[in-house]
Amino acid sequence: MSDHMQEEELFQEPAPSLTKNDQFAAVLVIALAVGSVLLGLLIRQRDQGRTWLYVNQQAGIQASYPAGWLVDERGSYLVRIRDPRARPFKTQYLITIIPVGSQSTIRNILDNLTLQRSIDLSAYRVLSVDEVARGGTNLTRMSFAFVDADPNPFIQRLPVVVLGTDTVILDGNRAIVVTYMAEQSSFEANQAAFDRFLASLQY
Amino acid sequence: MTTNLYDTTSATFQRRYRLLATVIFLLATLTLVSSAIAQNNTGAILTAQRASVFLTQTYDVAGSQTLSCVGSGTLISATGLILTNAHLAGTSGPCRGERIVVALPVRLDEPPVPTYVAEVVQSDPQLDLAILQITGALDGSLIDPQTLNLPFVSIGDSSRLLPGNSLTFVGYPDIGSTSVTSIEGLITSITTEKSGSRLAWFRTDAALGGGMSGGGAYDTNGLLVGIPTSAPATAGTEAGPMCLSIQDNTRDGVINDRDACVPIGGPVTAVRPIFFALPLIESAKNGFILRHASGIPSITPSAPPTFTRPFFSTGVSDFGVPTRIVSTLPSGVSSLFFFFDYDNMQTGIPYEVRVTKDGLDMPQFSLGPLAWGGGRKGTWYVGTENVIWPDGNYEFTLLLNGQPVAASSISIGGTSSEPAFSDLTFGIPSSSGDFLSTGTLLPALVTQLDARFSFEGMQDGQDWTEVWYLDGTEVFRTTRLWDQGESGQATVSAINYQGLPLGTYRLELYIGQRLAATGDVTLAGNRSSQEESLIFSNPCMVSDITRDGLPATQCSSVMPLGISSLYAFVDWDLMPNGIPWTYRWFLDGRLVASSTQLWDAGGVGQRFWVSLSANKPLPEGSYAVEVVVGNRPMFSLNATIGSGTQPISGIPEEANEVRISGTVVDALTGEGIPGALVAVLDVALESPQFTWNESEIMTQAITDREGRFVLPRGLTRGNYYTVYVFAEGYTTIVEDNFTVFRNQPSPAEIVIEMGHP
Repeated sequence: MSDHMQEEELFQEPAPSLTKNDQFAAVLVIALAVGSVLLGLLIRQRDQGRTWLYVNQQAGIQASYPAGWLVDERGSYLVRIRDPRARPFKTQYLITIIPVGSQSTIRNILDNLTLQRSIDLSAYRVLSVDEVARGGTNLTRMSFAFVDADPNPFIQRLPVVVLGTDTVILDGNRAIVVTYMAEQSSFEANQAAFDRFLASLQY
Repeated sequence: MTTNLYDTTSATFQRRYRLLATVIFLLATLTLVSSAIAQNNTGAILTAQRASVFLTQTYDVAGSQTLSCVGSGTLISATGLILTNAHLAGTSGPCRGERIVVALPVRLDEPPVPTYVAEVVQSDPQLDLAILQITGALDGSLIDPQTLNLPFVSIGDSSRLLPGNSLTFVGYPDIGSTSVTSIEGLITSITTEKSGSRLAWFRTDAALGGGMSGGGAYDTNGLLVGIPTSAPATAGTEAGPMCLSIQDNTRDGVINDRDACVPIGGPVTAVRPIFFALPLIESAKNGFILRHASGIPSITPSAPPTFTRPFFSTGVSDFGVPTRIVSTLPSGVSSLFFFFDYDNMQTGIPYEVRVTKDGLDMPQFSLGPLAWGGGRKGTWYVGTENVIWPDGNYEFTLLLNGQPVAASSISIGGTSSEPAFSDLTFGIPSSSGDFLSTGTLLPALVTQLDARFSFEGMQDGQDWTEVWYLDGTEVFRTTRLWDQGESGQATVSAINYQGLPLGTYRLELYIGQRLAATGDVTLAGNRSSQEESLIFSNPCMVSDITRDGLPATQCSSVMPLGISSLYAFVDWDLMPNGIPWTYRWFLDGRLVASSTQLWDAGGVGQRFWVSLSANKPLPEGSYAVEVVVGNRPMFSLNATIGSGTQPISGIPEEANEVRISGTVVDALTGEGIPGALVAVLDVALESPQFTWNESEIMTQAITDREGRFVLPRGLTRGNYYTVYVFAEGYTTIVEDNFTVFRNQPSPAEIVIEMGHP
């Protein structure tokens, strides 16, 4: 065994010593790699934080929403903005304008929403109604949940539990209801982005 | 010389090379073409499987849903129209039900999943065909058919099919516990039956379970060309009960013979050609409703059915008259028909003609069990042509609900033949003895009705009998000795110098005691200038009627757009009750609706009407209505709605679209990506112009847990589209040149691979 090792040592070439240029090159490569990763993260973060502006001049409403989300103005809402990449449920923000009479209360508005959604959505449940602060004023926010299922019988999409909130802003003779809906496991993670959207809302 | 030799060799070599290359090219082309066809056919059958539904009829017993009948059906439109057997969808009869549950093959390798309820929108019990419409979900909520996006099959041409052609049958062989099934088979013969004349049924050698009834038969192009049909007996049969008890209806804790039994039936061998279903399909797609003025309600029979006068004929005329009645036949006969009279029959009751030869079953000549659709009373026939009947002693047994009710036998073999009368024809004679008009519908009040027939093998001195009936009552009988020689033509007459009363006449001719010829003829209407029956007069088309059933508008052949009904009014004279009559509506020359009824409005009257209506405006086009009695068109009326140039909506649009479904998978693992969004932009909109507004998206779908998606709207052939595919954790796909070729089969399956960023 010992002889064998000696033979191996005999055939080994002496390790070449690194020149200063080699050492500089190695450090430079490592630094570039780290720098690239950091730059990539920076760009990604910037991209993720990038927003586009939604403007509806007729309703006098504008808000900044995450870039790359889809805008839809064809429903019963003023606008629905949703993340096409989100899975399994498309995280979305809705802005709905509801006329308000002089006798109406916020509770009436929320009750009407509940009545309609009980028909339109499966297993719709109101979870809570509380107050939240926005720009120094308190707004009413209703939390709810429902089950989203695909009606196509040939599509085996599992029903998804969706959490949502309705934030009601009274604006003269109209109520602006800003709705946020996301799949329950990603609801908390996306809450901050929605808060930024809500904060950007101008009317 | 050498050069010449070399040149010759070279030329030969080149020729051989070219020949070889040509052969290789042809073989390669053939292989590619056959491979493409095979792939296309496989795709078409896959589509047929996806469009195959399992139907369950249920009714409520003390709050419990009880199954009464099961069978198959086929989706023929994306909006949930289902083609099936009428007996599977009836509200009365052996398959009675209150609710039709539709189960879909959500996964082709799994049993169907009950998903929807459906209602009958068109039904023809005579043909045992019906069209259902999906109307709601199982929980009772209503569904807008326009929001459904179901797979469906294309309709083929059954008139081109011949014995020896291949068919693929798709349906559910048992009571829904297995997945959708495809079975290959051949058309072995074509059966003639009174329900559908010469092409009434295709016969097949495929082993189809009873549950396949109502499903689909597809040609080699994957087009729907027939409906396998069987109506199993609900009572016990000779072989025991043909049904299964699968529910504890009595709630006694056990499932036994006291619980309801779901009939499943034996093998299905009869296939109704799709040709018969086309008017029903057209009516259903356009929402047409057929109505006519009501007369005296018919009486539901209470007495048990009876069967009389079974006999055999070697053929049947276009008027349904046996051409040559026989009791024995020589070897090599290729055509044989079994006739019988019936009374008190009920629509939907399972009937069967079972044929045995020397005691052995002959399924290729048997028919049924099928749902009865021939009405209460009449003469029926079943036969097979263009097939050699082997020598032997044949027994034809008629079974009703599994029980034998009548039988008759005939011997085939040898060379001997018996004296015969044949080709019986009724007519009104002229003074010279020629027929002024012939057929089974002739004018009433004529003084003489002749029946002409051929004879052969007769011997002078042979006794023969002539018997006339009027509306079932014998009115004349005479027996004489034959004196007209061995062969030739002879005539017998019914004469009444006061005028023969209207009604249905039957003539029976006997040689000795054996029935040798028979036929029915109806005398109705006045004599027209062509000496034919003139029953109807003063036809008139209007778009509305009053509450009293009178025309509410002026007669016109040009109608405005937006009307939802057409009424054809007519006066009638000398039309006896009980006569079958048919009215047919045509749109742009195509038969879109047809109904056969028994006349019940009495002998004389005015302003009888038939109508075509819909719950929406009738499509623009050229309409025609035709009334037929005794195979003879009585009158026709035309009307145009609008300019009459617009095609019927729906069908051309579907034909020009390709339905897209597919799977989004991970490029590395090949696993499906759930929750991905597949979006197709409007035509001619490319990614640089896309403003991320959903109004610019033509259609979109989200993938299921296996990555599968179905685009709700079809893509138009010959167009380019931009497709986006989004999924969290994957690089978004943008394809600006997604081409839908003009010859692209529909539906099309695509696979989209997504990579990680």
